[in-house]
Order: sequence, then structure tokens, then C-alpha cells
Amino acid sequence: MGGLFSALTSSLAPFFLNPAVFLPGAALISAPIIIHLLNRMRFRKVRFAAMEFLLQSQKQNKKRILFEQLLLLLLRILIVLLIAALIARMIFSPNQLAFLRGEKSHHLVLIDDSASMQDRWGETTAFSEGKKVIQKLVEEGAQRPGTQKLTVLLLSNPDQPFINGEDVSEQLLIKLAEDLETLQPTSRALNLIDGLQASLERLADLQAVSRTAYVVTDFRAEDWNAQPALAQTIKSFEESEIAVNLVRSVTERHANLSLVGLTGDLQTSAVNVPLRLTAQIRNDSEVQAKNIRLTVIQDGKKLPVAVPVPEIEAGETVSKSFDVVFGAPGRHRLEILLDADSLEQDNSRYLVVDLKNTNPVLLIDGSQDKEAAAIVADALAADPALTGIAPLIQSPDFLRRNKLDDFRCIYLINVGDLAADAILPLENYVANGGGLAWFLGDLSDPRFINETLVRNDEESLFPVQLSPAFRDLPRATEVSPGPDLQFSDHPLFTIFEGAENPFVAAVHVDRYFPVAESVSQSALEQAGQVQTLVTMRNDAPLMFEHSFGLGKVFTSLTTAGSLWNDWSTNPSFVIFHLELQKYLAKRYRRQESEEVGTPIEFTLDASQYSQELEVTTPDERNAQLQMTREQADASGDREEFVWKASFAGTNEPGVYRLTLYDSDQNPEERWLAYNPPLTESSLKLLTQEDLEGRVGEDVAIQSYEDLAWLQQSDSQQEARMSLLMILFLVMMAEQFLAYRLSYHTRKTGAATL
Amino acid sequence: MTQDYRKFLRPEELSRISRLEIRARQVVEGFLSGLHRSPYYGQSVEFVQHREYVSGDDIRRVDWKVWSKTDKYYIKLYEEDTNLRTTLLVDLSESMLFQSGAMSKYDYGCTIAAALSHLLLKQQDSVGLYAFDDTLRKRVPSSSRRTQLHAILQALNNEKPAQKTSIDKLLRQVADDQSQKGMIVLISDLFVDRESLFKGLTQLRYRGHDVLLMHVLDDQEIDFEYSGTTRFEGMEDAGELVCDPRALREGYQQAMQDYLHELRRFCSKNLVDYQTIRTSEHMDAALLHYFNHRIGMRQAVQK
Repeated sequence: MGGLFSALTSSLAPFFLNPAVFLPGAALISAPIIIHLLNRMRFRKVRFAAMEFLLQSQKQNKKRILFEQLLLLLLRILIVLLIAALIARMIFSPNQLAFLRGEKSHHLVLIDDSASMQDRWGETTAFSEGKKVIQKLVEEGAQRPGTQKLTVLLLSNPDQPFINGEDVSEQLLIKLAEDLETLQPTSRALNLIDGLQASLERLADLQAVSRTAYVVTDFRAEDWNAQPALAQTIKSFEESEIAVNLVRSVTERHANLSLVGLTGDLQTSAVNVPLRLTAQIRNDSEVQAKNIRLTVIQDGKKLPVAVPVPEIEAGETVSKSFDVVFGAPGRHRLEILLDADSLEQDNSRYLVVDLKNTNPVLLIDGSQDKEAAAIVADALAADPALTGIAPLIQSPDFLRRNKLDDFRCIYLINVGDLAADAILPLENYVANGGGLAWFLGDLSDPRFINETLVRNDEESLFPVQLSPAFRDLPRATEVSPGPDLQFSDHPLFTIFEGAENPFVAAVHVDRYFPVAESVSQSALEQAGQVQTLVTMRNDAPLMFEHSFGLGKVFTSLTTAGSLWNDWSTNPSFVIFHLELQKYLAKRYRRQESEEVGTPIEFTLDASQYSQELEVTTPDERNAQLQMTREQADASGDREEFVWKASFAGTNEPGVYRLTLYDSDQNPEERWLAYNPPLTESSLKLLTQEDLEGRVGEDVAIQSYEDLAWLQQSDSQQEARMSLLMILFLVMMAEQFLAYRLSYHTRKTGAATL
Repeated sequence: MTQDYRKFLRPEELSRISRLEIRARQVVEGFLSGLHRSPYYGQSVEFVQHREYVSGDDIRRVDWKVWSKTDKYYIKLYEEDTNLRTTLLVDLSESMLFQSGAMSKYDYGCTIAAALSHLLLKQQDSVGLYAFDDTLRKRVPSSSRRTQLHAILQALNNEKPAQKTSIDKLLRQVADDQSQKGMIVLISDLFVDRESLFKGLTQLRYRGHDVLLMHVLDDQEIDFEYSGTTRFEGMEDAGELVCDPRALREGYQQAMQDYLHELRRFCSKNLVDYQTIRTSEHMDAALLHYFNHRIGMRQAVQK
């Protein structure tokens, strides 16, 4: 019996908040029936004279009386049922069928934990206000345990719920309070659309009585302007019959200064050589910012003098340059800091400076006298203490026997045929980010270049097919006037721009290797990979630049030295080579501005490095990474393997240190600076009107400041008011009917005769 | 003062007086003391006007007082100077036993009959009685003797109602018996066959009788204020019914009103005086009604 009762109670659970009360209540419907039957059984006798009229009345009203009596009985049963339902707190929902499937109402909260949610004002932050919304939601739901489920998704990881469809109860409230305590926003820029779509998919699969999504975010104008599809995604919730509540965790824009850039000529940095760095500061507010101080922290030590910035107009970005000097070789961590404001994370920016005593540059010269290499070496480092460059002049055989990775860049000056075991290290060197400069000469062999170095279908070390023989360029005449060199718009030649630089005009090129006739200029440009940097008076291309793997290759179809041109006698020659060296030496280009959240991914030669890899995060935690072994060539033609590794835990800004081990287990460090995302700095919010205009009027827009609406959202499901109204109406009907059916003395006294 | 006497005429009070004779006297005396200012008090033969004497007139009627003042012969003219002949028809059927208040219709009807008899005999009028149910139970021929009241009371007292009402034969018999025109007073609840009732009444009117219908009804029969499930057992074998009377009340009242309306219409058409009397009303209502009827009759004669 008890089992039956509990089984019935549990089957009624989706309908009522107190299902146990309903069954005894429903049993009371027998009361009116029993009273009715008892009344039929207990009657008094009356001997009556005017039976004629009584029988006549009975005959006429028989059907009506039966109908009215049944109706009255029905109404009374209904009253008992309604009262029982009220006490048992019936839940009302249009999705009655969902009740039968035994489901509950489901709440899904998507909370934005992107960097902008760190927005701080007073004693609170946008994120902690968002957390309070969740807590309040659970508090409300816990008052009616067993009727609601909760899922909480973090925008940073919408595929793995923070809370996954758990019953809302007191236990959850306690657990949630502990979990939310430690939950902090990330430093990353996150895509709200991904989170919304994950929420939509999760809710669409649920068969719940009612499904409600809560999107807790700061509604920054920048997010919504950049992604017009956001509003459409929110509207698609309604198409799936999911109620959406947009909850603002911030209601007003707070002033914010952010560091948006820190750059410098790191390629030329050397010990005791002043390094010029440029910081960019943006004022993301509506008022002018004054008296800003920029603190520089070098290897964890604060520099004694702060860099002052007098003022920044609202919405403006200001660049401020300053010099730092490093007294020791090696890697250095540089951090700049702004004074605290509402958004703290964009007040700092990191930079890694890889400093060496000198920067070794390998000059390979194929000629016996190595005269051209010597000229370039002089240009690069007349005094190594000034430029920090240490040129090393070697013959081509050096390539076969030595490790090339330590060189900032490699010049191949007037080399002839290269052995295959010299070409391979070169390719690896460039593919991993090294810089290579070709200077042709009388020893260069066009046939070897065309057949071995130039590959038509894939990246190659040499950019173009050459004509079999060099060609002379006659000196400028009246027929063919103008300077021999015509520079394209390229960073290498920025310094030569403008008419006030007369030196370049004086350079004469006498001889060069023309591009093969089969290679047309248009075909070169269309290929896109090869960029022509310099053309000559006769429109023939002379210098190119193209990419190979991560590295860059510069190619000059004339000599480096004075053999085929007289550039080396011109002052602009030194400037050009210093610039070229800087340009090519950018080994880790991506390290300049890695954004928090971007995974660290790289490929290492499996023959040179072992499988272990260690990552040290800015807060000094170590992570061991296992790299996977993969075939270097996707087609599988070559039996070469590489290590591939990926580290996704770059959630905090700062310097990440990678420790690699070569095949002899010697450690090798690489440092990467990760900086906050620039897109999170603007704290301008969407206005209420703008937001309503985008998402439509049907979507409820709430604010963290007033959480009274949370109580309403649940009471809507409970049919208290509706039941009371129905009960009132039924009671009125019962009273009316009972009055109609019953006897009443008239005010005027006896019936009229 | 005028209202005080009525307290003795309440059915509740009268029902305590067991002897019908005393009850009748109580009613009549109470009634008469209430009527002492009436212009009709104590006179059954009344002066109407003077007329000049013409030859052949009875000399005994000459008003000598007028002659002494005017020296002219005038004769006093009187209204009826003969005894009024009244016949009471009292229903003693089973249905008259119905009682919800202080008195049953039977008691009430008998009291009215006795009171009327007392009053009429006091005025030297002659009174007769027919007591009936499905047949004629008792007949007291008309007489104005002192002993007549006793005979009537005896006739009423002796009867214990147990039969159905059958009225057509009785009315025919009354019409046959009463060759002399008079007043017929029918005291009944009239739960009878309508056709035969109307037929008999028409017959009486046809013979020139003044007919007065005193329709005695119990309050419950008119108002039907029963509640709760009730089993109604019909008197005079009218069947039985278990019902919620509240539900049937409206229909019952409608049917009753229809019947009363039909009766009234018939009576006014055939110049039958009709009056419904509740058993809860004061006893003098019936007597008052009788007097009103008499006045109506006189006015009709005068015209």
C-alpha cells in the first residue's frame, strides 16, 4: 500500500511541488459524492394532499433537475480537486505533454568569462555580479526542490559545462557557492556566438517542461558591432521556443587606459647597446586622461624612472618611445605597467628580448679571395660594439659540417653548385625561421639553380628561373635616362624614400642575371609568393623577396661586392645591409604579439630534438608536454619525421618559457611573450535601446542590479494565481447553481395567491 | 382597540379550544365585538326608505310619527324581511386532514362552518349542512331553531375523514334538494376533478343560488417551503414521490397557481364568489368574507 502511494506520488511529482499532499486531497472528492448519496438515503416522510401538482412539476422538470444535480455535484468535486491542487502547489505549463515525459524545467546560464568581465568598480567586478545572478537563480529554484535543473556554461569552454543539468536543490546551492568562489574570468577574448550556439544545441536536445537561457555578459558595443550575427543567434533561441534572458553584468561604461603595443628593433639588440622600445597607450573612455606614468619592469626589477605621458585625448592612441639597456646576454623579460584602472589586465604588456653578446651572421663566399664577403662584413660590423653583429666568413663547405641555427641570418655570396647535404640544412634553417640572402656573381650556375633550387610546384630556396647567361646593363644615356635602381614600396627601403636621398641615384649596375624568358613578370606577380623589390632602368627585376617555411629569403641577381656594380662604394650600401640583416633576422616573428589564448604550436625536427618538452607559465607552473611524431611530408615520400606539439594553456598574459631538449638531452630555452587581447579593452557598452533594437522586443533584457525578475520567472510556472481564479469562478458557479436549486423565502413573505 | 379582539381569532389560540361549539362562539363573539361600529350591526331586517301610501298597502306599515308631523301617510320600506337560507357544504375528505401549522384544513373548515352557523342562527337565519367526502356523509336540513347549531356541530364532529373527494354527485343532490333559492357556501380544499366541480357549480348557479367558494389551503400547499430529501405520500391514494422539494418548488407553485387561476376565472365568469383562505389566517377572515358577500348581494338587489 505504502509502495503504491509512493509510486503514485512520484508519478505526480512533475505536476506538483508537494505531490504527497495531492493524493489525500484528491481522495476528498468522494466527500460530496457520499454526502449526495447519504441525502438520497435519509429522507423524511410527508403525507401530502396536493400531490397532483407535485407530480406534474416532477414530470416537467425531471431532466433538468437531473442535469443540474449532476452539474452541482461535478462543481463540488472540482472545488475539492482545485483546493487539493492549490495545497499541493500544482505546476502549470502549456507544454502539458512534456509533463507526461517526466521532465523538469531547465535553466541554462551562459556566463561570459572573457577579459572584459574583469571590469572592476567599487568592491565588485562584472564577473562577480554575474556569479551572483547564478547564485540567486539557484536560491530561488531551491525553494521548490525537484522541479528545476541547472546547467552553467562558461564562455571560455562552452563544450564542457561548469554545471551539467543538475537538480536545483540546497545541496547544489552549497556546492555552487564553493565552486563559484574560485571561479575567475579568463584573460582571453572570447566569441559569444560560439557559446550561444553551444547553449542552443544543449537546450534543443532537452525535453524539458520549459527551457530558459540566461546570457550573463557585459554587452560591450565592440563585440556586438564586430559580430552582427550575434543578434540573429539570440533570435534563433525563440525559434526553438527557448526563453532568453539577457542579463547585464555592467550597467555603465568605466574609464580605461590600455597598453596596445610594445615594439622595438629587437633584431639589432645587443649587450650594452641601447634598445629603443615604443609603447602604445590607448584611452578607452569619454574623457581626457592626464598625468599617466608608465612603469618599466626589466627582469622583475622596476626601473627607477617612470616614463611620463602628459595626456591622452578620449579615444586616442599615443606612442611613447624609451630606451632600455641590457648588461648581460641571454633572454630578458620586459614588462611595462600602467597605473591601476577599471580593467587591470590591459595595464601591462610583456616583451621577450633575446640578447646576445654579438649576433653572428654567416657570410658564405664561393670565391677564393672572399673579397665580396669582406665588404659586406665591413658594412655590417665595422665596429661590432656599435652594431652588435659578428660576421663569420666561410666557404660553402661550412654548410655541410656545422649547425646553422645559431646564426641570425646567412648570406650566400657568389656561390657555385651546392652539394645536396649543404642544401638540406639550409632548407631546414630557413623553414624554421632563419633568414637567407642570395647574391649572385660570376661563379653562379644558372643551370644548377634552375634544376636543383627552383621548384615549380612548391616552396623553393630560389625564387625564379634564370636565363643561362648574365647580361650587361649599359650605363645611363639620354636614350635611357634615370637611376639604375628603382625601389618598390617595402620596409627594407623605407629609409631611402624621398628625393632628398641622392646616394641611391648614384649606384650603377653593370651586369646581372636576367630572369628566364619563360618567366614573365606578370606570372611572377600572380604567383604572389615572390615579391619583386628592385627593378632596373630597363624594367628588368633585380632583387626579390619570398618566404620559405617560417623564414624569409632575399635574392639579388647581381653581386654583393664591387664586381658587377658600384654600390659598395656608395654610403647607402652600409645602411642597406644593416636593414637587410635586421629584416632577415626576425627568427620568431610570431612572438612579437601573441594574444592570450592562442595555443603554442610548433614543429621540430625529430632527428635533432627529443620528445620531451617543458612549458613554464608566467606563474611559474611547469607542464610536461609530449610531442607527437608525424611524417614531415604529408605525401609520405620522404622518410623524415617531425615532432609536433601544442600547448593550449596560455590563459594568462606574461612570458611562457619552453624548454626543449636536443638529441643529446641538452636543454634549449625559447621564451614567448603573451599579451592581453586588444579587443577586450574598450568598455563602451550597448545602450538599452540599441540592444532592444538588435534582439527584438521579445527578448527579456535584465540587469544585475535588480534581480526581482528571477522570482517571477519561476512563479509563472506555478499555477497559484490561475488556480485561485479558477477556484473562485467554480465557487461562484456552484453558489449560483446551489442558490438556483435551493429554496428561499421571499422578502415579501408568502407566495402570492 | 379594534385590533385587540383579533388575538382571540388566531388559529394558534383557537386550536387549543377543543370543543367546536365554544370555538365557534369565541370566533363569532370576537368577530362581532370587532364589528360593533359596523352599520350592519345586529340588523338583518333594515329600513331602506319612505314611500307614500297607496291603497292596498298594509296599514301596519304606516309611519305614524311622520303622519303626526306632516299629516301625510308614508309607508316604511324594509329590505329583506324573510329569513336567509344558507346551506354549508363541508368537505370531510382525507386530504382535508393535511396540516403543517396549528390547524388542519379539516379543523379550520369545521370551525368556519360552526362559526358561520352560530352567527347565522343568532340572526334568526336558517342554516343547513351537507358533510361529504366521496359520498354524502351527513345532512342537516335547513332550520333556524336553537337546536340547529347543536345538530350541525354534531354532524361535523362525528366525521373522521378517510375517503376521497367526489363532488359532482353532491352538488347535483344539493341542487335538487334546495328548491328555494339561497346561499350555498362550499368549504373545501377543492382537490377534486375540475370538470365535475365546474359542472356542479354551474348547475347551482343555474338554479339561482348564490354560491360562495371558501377554498381552504394549507400554507405549505401554497408556498411549498419544504427542504431536504423528502418522501411525499399522497393522501387519497394520489401516489408517492421521493424528491428534493426545492428543485420542484417552482414547477409545483406554477401548477398550483395555474389551478387557482383557472378556478378564479371560472368563478368570475359564473358569478361565483371565490376566496382562498389559508389555515394560518385569522378566523374572522372567512366571516368577513361572508359579510362582504352579503353586502355585495344586497347592493345587487338594490340596483
